[in-house]
Amino acid sequence: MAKQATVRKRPAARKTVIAAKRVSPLDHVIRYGRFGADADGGPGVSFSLRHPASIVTVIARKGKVTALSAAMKKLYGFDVPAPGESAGDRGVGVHWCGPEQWYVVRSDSSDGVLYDELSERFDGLASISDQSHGRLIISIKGPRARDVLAKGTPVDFHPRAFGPGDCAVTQMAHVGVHIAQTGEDVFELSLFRGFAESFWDWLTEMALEYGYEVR
Amino acid sequence: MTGKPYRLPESAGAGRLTDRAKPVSFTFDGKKMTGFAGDSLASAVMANGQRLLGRSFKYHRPRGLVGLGSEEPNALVGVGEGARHEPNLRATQVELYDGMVAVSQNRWPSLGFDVGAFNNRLSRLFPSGFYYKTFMWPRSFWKTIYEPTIRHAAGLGKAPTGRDPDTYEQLHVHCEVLVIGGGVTGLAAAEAAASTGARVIIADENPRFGGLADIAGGKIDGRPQTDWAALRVQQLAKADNVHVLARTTVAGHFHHNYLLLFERLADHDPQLIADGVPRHRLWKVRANQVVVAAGAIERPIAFANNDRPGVLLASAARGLVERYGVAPGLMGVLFTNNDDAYRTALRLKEAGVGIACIVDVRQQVDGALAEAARAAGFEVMSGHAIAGIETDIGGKAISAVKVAPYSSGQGRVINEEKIECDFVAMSGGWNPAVHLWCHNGGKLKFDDSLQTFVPARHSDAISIAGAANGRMSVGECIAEGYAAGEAAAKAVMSKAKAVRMKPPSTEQEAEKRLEPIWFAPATGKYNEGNKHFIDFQNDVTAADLELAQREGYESVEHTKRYTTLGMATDQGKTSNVNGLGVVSQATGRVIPEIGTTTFRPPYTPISMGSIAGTSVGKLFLPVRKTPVFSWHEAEQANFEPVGEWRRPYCYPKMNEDRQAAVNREIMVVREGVGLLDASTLGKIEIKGPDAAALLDRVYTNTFSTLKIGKGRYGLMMNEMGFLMDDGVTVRLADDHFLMHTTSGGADRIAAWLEEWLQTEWMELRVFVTPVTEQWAQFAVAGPKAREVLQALGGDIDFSADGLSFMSMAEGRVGGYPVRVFRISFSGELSYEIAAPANFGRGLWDSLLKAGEPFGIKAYGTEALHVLRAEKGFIVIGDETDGTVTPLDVGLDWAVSKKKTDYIGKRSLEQSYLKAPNRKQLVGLYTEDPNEVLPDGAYAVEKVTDKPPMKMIGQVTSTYWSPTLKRSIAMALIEDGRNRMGEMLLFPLAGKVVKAQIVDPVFYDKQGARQNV
Repeated sequence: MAKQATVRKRPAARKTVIAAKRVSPLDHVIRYGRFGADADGGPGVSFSLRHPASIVTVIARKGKVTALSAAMKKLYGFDVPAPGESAGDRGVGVHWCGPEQWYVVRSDSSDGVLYDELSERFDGLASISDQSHGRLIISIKGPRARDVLAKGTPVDFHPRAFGPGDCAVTQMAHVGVHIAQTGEDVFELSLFRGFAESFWDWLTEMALEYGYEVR
Repeated sequence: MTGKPYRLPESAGAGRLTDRAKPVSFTFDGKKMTGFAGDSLASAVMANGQRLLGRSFKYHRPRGLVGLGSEEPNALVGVGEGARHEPNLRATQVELYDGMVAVSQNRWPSLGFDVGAFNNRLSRLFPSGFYYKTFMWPRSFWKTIYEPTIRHAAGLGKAPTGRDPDTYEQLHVHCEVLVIGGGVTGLAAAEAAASTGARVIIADENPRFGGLADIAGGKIDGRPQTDWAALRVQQLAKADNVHVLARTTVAGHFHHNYLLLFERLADHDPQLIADGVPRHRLWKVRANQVVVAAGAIERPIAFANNDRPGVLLASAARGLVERYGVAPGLMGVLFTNNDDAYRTALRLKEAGVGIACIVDVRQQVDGALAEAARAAGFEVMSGHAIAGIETDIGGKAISAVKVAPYSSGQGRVINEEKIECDFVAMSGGWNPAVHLWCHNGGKLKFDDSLQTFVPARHSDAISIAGAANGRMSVGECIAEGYAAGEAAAKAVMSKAKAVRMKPPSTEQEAEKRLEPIWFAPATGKYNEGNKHFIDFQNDVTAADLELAQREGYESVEHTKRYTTLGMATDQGKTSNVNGLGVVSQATGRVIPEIGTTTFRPPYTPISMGSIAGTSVGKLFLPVRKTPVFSWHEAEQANFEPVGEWRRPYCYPKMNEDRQAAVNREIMVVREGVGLLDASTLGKIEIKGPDAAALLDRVYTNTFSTLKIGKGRYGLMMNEMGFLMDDGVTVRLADDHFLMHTTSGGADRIAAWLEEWLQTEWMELRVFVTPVTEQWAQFAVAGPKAREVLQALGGDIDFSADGLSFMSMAEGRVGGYPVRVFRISFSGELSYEIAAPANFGRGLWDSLLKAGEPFGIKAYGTEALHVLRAEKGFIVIGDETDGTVTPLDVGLDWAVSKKKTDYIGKRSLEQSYLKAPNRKQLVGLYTEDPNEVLPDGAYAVEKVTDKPPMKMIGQVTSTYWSPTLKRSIAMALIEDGRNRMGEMLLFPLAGKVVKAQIVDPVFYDKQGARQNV
């Protein structure tokens, strides 16, 4: 808990807040509301964008995983997650995304702050890259979320095989997607922003038969 | 033929599946027919008195029904009209619906009169391998006459034209146990597996479960087998851990228990299609364990002209009566080598269908079923075989069979007896359906008592049970099904407690051993109008197989390819073992020594629609869009694909064609200021203490000497010394570089760097991260570029000294956090300004606004390309094609002589890469300045009347240059740099274009314009 203050302290590198609006890649195509089958009943899934968000890639430097893990524990209270796993607390999510690499995700109003923070905290332990603008996170939630995902990815989402705190790197509709399960029926899909429109078309079309809501 | 009583009266107690209260009308080859709900197309056509269902592939012989289900080789039909037409469906599996439009295949002009049947008369000219033997001369005839004629005559069915109006789906499913086949064995396996709580999928290709339970004889717990099966299906369907999939063919088994299941959701009911149900669904299943319970397929017998319409499998005859109440004919002969077939005689008699006699090749026939047949009054001709068939003139209807004494290994038969009949039910025993077992390497062994191949071993987590495993009694099938299901579930669900299944009591007539018969001798020579068919679908006869042996095709795989035995959609379901039997007799080797051919997926064909799934229309492929894409769209840009990206090619204004737009955009950059969306440019972050060392190894030039805040143009070669990428890399910190790659190369180069780091240079402490999408990047280019950026305001000094050529700065411009690179691909004063992508659109709009007083206009990729060509800059993929070195394109200055090593360095030392006659990059001026050479045009040494002409090089880039008001081109020409001033000849259609070799830098050779 005591560490929280350190986390929030803005590093020296970022002097002024950027006032410009961060425009999501779906800004001009997204339509909010209730669509598809069974319009009067509950939607099979609901979608929301996690935007704006800070997404930072942390790649442990050679031989520094243990030290990095200790630094992360000091910062967030948990170690770096094992392969295929996520960890999170107080709005920060850390998701495994490759051998000795992770995404750190935080819903942020200030651009670049998380990147600066981690660059400082993990200096010498990891290579840090800001992907906050390069990736988009779409949250999918609801009783039919697994059915929608099953149309695109071979990952097994049965509760016996995958649950909250698990994550996977996969491909859906020809697009590379990182999937993290963040709740009982809640999944976060993270993908390159350039594919966002096409992927959104695909995702909503697949959800049509279950009825969906965009929030 | 219509009007004959093929549909049995209801009183016959037959036709279990049909509903006589629901007549259904349909057409077959345009002829109106009626059937009943529950009929298959095959049964309904037969009930209408038509036994001619198709023509054969090669000889166009008339063909009728042979099988009961998916093993049917002959009755291939097309169903549906227009874009909904689907060819090559087995009529036995097509469920009849009201209004169905079906056609036969492989005949012209009609099924009854087929011109192609002439082939049959010429069959002596069409032995196996006739393609290879016949159409050899004259050579030029192949393309113009032979192939078009063969293509017209051959092939199965016609592909529909037009867009498929239906929808298709795919989905990924995981299960602990997949059970293939829903007969009693499969149901038992699924029941046992499901009892553990495991996720179970049970799939059957038929519309209903139970397999052959209805015609296999015997009882379970004192009741018909079908009752036991129906109850199991009901219970499984209720369980929420079980998918029960009817009309679902397991099409293929692949590595790691990955399987494709092809579900036909709506083929049987057009109303479902109208309601929006997908026609087909492809299940991509990953199963921990697979249980194959695919049953067995009856073998035909190779007797003379055994392909005549009216000759069918004993199980098919029995099934037609039992399921559809349709008689295969009025009077039949049963030809068998085993006891099971006697059930057909008994069942047909019960339904009132006549059987003149039973011909059994065995000398001694005394099994329980045979005794029952004798008791029922059948004449059993033991030690006999059918030696021939008599038909009407077209060979479309049987009038009698010739029966002769038979004993295994005997020679020519002389005496024969004629028995009048109009159908023959044959049974040569049963073959386990091992196809799916074998798709991914399952091994087989020969079983002497069944005289067929049965499963032996497999390296996957897969087991096989029941008839598919050679167990032919219901008691064995259920016991083995339970055991397999339980074992499969337990292997995965280690903690689960399986409910111990108690096998029910069963009773079934015991069967005696069969006697193999691979060939029933004819009373004449077999090539005197007699054909013993082995593979009906591919028109392969016993004589063809024997010929192949005589010609030396000893390996069974060679025999298969030479004769086409077991090929195509059928994959040898009825023909495989009989073919091996013939080969065995012809070569004197036993069958296990010969081995089998390879069983390939799919088990039966799956639709193209199911393979496409939802990847059609706008969902066909994702399109990658930059943060400014919607602006380009609003400006009605012409787009071009660059990798997955869509980039604006140009922005034509009203009444402007593309060329005019491109010309205008170029002049905007040369004279004022232009704005380019360069966001697609590949960007890779390179971080770590050894970042500079990595760059020194992958680029031809040196990056470790680069100062922070500076950029350098780099060339990347592959190990062969050939150019693969180029771009400017900037140093942001000691241990931090930003590499720019070509737009199309970003992913490839990131993977390339990863490969070296992960497999060769593990010691380097450096990481690469693609950040292309993180940044929106725009080029502001032209003499007024500086003024535009200065007008935007911010904390970056854009003066000539403040930000010199090949420098970069970080800061704020117009309120946005940016990186600015002073680099130029146009030769003009130029800045590339990058902002985090979510700010991209805002920055773009700000640049346009700030640039308005300076006349700023967006320019597209074509203008970009012409601008760079005017300056002689290469483009990877235009000037290079994977065989071009940096030296070839005159970039020696960027190739380090000092560095000890880097990728491709040693290759450049090879003599042929240093050879004087290599093609080198040059510029071209056409003699007529208005003539623009086509891309790729060949320069030749000497123009002759017709090819071949010696080619000395080719055009790599060619444009109209509005700056120079003439055409320009770049080309790779043999020894080009030593031929400056020479006039080259480019022979084109109808003319020869002359062009002079010049320096490839056409404009501002000193580079003064970018250094202001």
